[in-house]
Amino acid sequence: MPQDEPIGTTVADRSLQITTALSAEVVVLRERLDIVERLAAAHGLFGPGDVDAYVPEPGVAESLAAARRAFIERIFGTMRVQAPRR
Amino acid sequence: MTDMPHAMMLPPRSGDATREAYWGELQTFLEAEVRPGFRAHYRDVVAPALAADPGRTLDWRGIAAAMRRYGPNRAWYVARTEAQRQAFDASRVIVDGQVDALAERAAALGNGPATLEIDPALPFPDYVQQDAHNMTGGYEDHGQHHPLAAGATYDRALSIHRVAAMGPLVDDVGHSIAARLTQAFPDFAPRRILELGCTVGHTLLPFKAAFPDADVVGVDVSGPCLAFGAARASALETAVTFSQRNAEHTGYPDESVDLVFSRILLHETCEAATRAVFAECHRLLRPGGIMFHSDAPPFDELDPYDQSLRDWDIHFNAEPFMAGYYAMNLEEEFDRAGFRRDAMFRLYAPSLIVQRGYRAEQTRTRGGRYFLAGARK
Repeated sequence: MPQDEPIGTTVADRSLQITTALSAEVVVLRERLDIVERLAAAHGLFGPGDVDAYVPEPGVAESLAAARRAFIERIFGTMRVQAPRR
Repeated sequence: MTDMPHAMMLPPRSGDATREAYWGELQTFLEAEVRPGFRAHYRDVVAPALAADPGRTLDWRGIAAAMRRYGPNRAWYVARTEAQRQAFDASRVIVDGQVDALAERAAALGNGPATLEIDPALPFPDYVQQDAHNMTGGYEDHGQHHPLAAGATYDRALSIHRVAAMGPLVDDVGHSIAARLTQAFPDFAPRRILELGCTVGHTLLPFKAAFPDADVVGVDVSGPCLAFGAARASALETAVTFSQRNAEHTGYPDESVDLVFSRILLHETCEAATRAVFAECHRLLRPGGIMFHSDAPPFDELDPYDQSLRDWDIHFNAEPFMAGYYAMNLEEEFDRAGFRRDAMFRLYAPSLIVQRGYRAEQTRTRGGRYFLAGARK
């Protein structure tokens, strides 16, 4: 049973190691963005409110959606099952 | 942290600082806010099951084995281990990017009030774990051998990861214990003070503050930790000596020391070395001198569940001798080393930082206090 396996050896254990490690990178990225927005505001360029209120023009919206679709394909594409060979 | 606590710590790039702080905060969260909730499972499921099973006893090993099968605790072990390793690595990455600047500063501080005595020929004891408490490279920086980096990393790790625990100078332990000691022994005025396993001097410097007229010396087997510690102490304008010696046989003369102590050293050694240290303490002390050793409380101070918490450290945090050290009968060992039973003591030093308002749980000390055991010669 999974709980009998030595801690750290199961797929679930390894997934948790990876997600724990990844969590730091999310935090680092978010904080950097926060800093960029603060510096931009301090320099009179734009502020966090401008980012919150941003609505992409149609061309940009399509481009962003395409990037999201590509991300989903890269990250989750392997969830597809192969059609069985006859 | 905007201001560095001392000149041997340099500000990192903001992203690196975020990462370093985050790993400390996650460790604190796991220890202070997640793990305590598992005691209910022990109370309601594990303890009754062990009590009902005639083949098993309610000892810490049995409890730990049962608790490992509890899903949330298993997840805690995995996340806690990852966070510990990542925390030290985050600090080491910062230090690696700063080594030249740190070396320059150390050189500039070389004539500072602190003194450094390095002995490169001193053998590094094989009982010290290579990656003690999951710090890659360990105290002697095996694999990289930088003269300062291991010490600088250790200092950052304890200052940043435990800043709520022991202060940015990691000196709460030293100040708290010195205060408790002078309270317990008001007549005690040591002229020569020796710390065994001083690493970078976190606990050593407060003893110079408490006894400013004393000669204060710290010994350790790690060259990089001593070298960094001396530069750090000079930056903090503290006149202490860092000397590369093995605590089992320091080489200092008989009866030449008034206060000899260690802090979180002995659990990183082995049984033979611990006994040798106690004997060395007895040899070094003048009559009336005091020995103490501070660490987490031994098992005989804890209930079996609290003892079982050490299972993570022993098996996942490269602290295998904790199982042996915390099970030692300290008074029996002090007796074996020549100390009189009626002159032995156990004390708890209340954390001064906790008294100033920090949450005890965040400090990860036991109710905001430090354990020490010792004897007066």
